[in-house]
Amino acid sequence: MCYQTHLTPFFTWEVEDINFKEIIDTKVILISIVLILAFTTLSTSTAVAPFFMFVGIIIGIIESNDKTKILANTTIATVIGSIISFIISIIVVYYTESPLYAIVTLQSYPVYLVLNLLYIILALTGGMIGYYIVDEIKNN
Amino acid sequence: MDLNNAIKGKAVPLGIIMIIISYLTSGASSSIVPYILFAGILIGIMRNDDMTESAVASGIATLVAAVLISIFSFAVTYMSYGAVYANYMISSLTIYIIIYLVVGIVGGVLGYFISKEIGL
Repeated sequence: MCYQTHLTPFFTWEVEDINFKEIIDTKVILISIVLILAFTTLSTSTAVAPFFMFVGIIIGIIESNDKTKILANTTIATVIGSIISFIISIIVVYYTESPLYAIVTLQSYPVYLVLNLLYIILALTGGMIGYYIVDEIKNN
Repeated sequence: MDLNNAIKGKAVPLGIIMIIISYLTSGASSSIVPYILFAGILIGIMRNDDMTESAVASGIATLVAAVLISIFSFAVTYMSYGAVYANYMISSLTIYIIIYLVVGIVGGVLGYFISKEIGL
């Protein structure tokens, strides 16, 4: 027996061909990683979360042509930047406090992962704010 | 200077959103004056027709955001420390609103000059 099934989709998801070489902008990612490292490792303040929003705004102003480019570049820059900043903070703790304390910091990595998710969401919000800022400047 | 032209568009809501996100994510204890300055600069870059217009737009956005922040902070203090401490906080909150307003207006004027320097 042969069943003929007509799988008609309820909705069509139009996906454009994403070319990662066109989307990813290395210069912007490097600039934002340097910014993230600067305020996470050099500042003595513990509240670094708003700076992520301003980094997102800067990326949004630079890449103001395409929303996809903003989102992709912001995500990549924030993920790489927070991982590098975590590694640097472990090295600093290893040499200034003690190796045991560094191990404890490593074991609490899930907490930092959740925090990093918050930072990524903040940076994406900032990217969208930057996009609308440029939109407003162009309409002015 | 036209007030309708100053608050036209998305500049004022974007500024309010920026300041409130900065306040909510910076932890309620630390100072958010630098972030208000940045938000004011961005509003001044967006509204770059006239210097008074950018100052007024930035001032309105900062005033609304500062009042919302103060109400939130007052409610949190009332719930966690009680009515006496909350009443004691009102005077300091008023002073903070004035400081935020001055910083926001200064940021708007700075943003106007930055936009003229960029050539928008």
